[in-house]
Amino acid sequence: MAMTGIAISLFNNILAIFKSVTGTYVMFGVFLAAVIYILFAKGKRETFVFSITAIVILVLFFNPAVFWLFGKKMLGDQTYCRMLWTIPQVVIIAYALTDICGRFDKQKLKQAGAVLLCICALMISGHIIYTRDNFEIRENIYGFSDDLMEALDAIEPCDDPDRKTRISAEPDIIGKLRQIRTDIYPKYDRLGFDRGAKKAIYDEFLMEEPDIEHLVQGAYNYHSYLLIYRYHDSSKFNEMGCKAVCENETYILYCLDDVSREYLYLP
Amino acid sequence: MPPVLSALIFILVIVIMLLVGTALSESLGKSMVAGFIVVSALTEILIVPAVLRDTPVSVFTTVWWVVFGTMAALAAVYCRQRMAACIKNAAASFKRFFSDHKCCGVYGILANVLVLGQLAGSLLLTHYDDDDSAYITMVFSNVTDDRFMRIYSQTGYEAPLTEMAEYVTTGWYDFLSVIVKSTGIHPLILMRTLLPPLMIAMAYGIYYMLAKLLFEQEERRSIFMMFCGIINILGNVSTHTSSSVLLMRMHQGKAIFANIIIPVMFYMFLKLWDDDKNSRISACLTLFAVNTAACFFTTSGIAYGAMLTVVFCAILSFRKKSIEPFIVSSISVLPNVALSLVYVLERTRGIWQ
Repeated sequence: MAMTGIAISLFNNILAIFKSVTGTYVMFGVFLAAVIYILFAKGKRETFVFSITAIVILVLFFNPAVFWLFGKKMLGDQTYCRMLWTIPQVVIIAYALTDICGRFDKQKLKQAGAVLLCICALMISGHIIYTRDNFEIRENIYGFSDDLMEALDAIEPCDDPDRKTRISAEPDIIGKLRQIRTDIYPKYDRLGFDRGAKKAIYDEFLMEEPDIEHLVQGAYNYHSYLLIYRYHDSSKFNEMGCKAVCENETYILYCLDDVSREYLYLP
Repeated sequence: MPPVLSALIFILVIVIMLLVGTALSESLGKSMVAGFIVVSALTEILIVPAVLRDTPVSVFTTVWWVVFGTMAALAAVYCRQRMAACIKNAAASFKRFFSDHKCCGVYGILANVLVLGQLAGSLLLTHYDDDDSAYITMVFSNVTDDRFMRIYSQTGYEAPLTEMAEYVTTGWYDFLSVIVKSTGIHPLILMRTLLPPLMIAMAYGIYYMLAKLLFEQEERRSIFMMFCGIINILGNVSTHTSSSVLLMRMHQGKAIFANIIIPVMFYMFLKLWDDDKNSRISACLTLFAVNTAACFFTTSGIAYGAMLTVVFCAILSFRKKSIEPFIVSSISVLPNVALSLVYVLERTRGIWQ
């Protein structure tokens, strides 16, 4: 009984992962139709190399024992969905559609109609990738906004190799900082953790109207005397004794105290 | 380093791959793919011990150039006739491509527009991915600290190797560190600007290799390529599809695994299926190289690359009623077995400290 319960729970996990990968299932439906088409309509080579292999991989994917081994014990359930990548869905769908359209080799108009129909079916099934929110027009060769690059360029490099430039920043840019410069050190990573401990300032940043006093105090507590914040009224920061080092339309880089340079770069 | 010199060294890395590949294939495209796979596989074999032994990045960079520079020089000397034939063939097929109006058919034009559009998209658009906060910073940290995988890249503190376990067995980011160290190109420029179009082009090159294997008529090949282009553009049903990673983060190892290594594996499978007289040693070596390359790009490649090889070879064994393909697959997944042992030991015992 206990084993069955565990298997059902693991299977539910697999279904959740499957849903997160396949979205509305429609494109996956097209893929399954292609697999079945190749299975019944084609010669031995494609049937075995594409269809049978895909079916075996799918059976393995939905197997709770395989999920327990790969998803729970070895790689983690976040990466379990990559097992589906071992089936080249793009190639299989394209192959099946090409084969269908190829049946009208001698009737060009009919072939064009079949191709058009297939394209329409694909357009209904999928979503255009470039409509995603996080695609942006590139502003420079680095691929980050000019404003962010400008704010980080304003941080002077520390001459002493034994000292580190500590910085606090908003979660949406914390992961970008060390991609641009490795001589600055955020006190927490993009999920708010520092050596396993969650930092309170991270949650403060996530609030719609963060308490500026808490932010500045939090940064002090982490010994980070530089703080990057989205552009807004800076009077509250000024009241707290912070000095804007760089200011543009998106970000303000604050130095939290009028401290001497050696104090700014902590050992 | 002056930008021109950086660009020349970067091109030299590509030429090395091409020269190494020329020893294995007679067409320029296949040489590039074969070179990429072989250089990746050999780099993986060199780099894992280097990471475990805490070899400085600068030392490994020298070793890499000596090893692959020598290989490329030997290939250039011993395979010069084949290379000349390769270039001649490429020029002839390029000429034929236009003279035979292969590119001018409606489907051919559409396919080319779709592929070129996706290449342009990777250059003109930018996409922020959270995983880059680990991967790009990792490459940058490796180079600035001159150590492989000893710094938790997001905050910069020194981390024990047990914490970095999942990255130790994959050499892709270490290899990129070698390129950054050699060329002086900023990791952001390398990974967000230079690599995506190159990798997308290679992925479509492999689709075309598959098309040539699957279809005899050029028109069908064009239709196949056109459908591949459309499916990839429309493949955004979630961020976890191979199409999404192709167009959004083709500089990451997992995307290369999904869009280059897996199609190459299927290309190999089709070849293996066709070729009854295929030498078992050659099949074994090729699959060995592809599986090692799968481990090179992503940790999940260790498990899933091996799984796919074993599944296919089991089917082949069953179909041909012979145990030989299964033995071939068992030998060719040895690197996966070895690296998964390293991975498990490292995660569980922290033996490298």
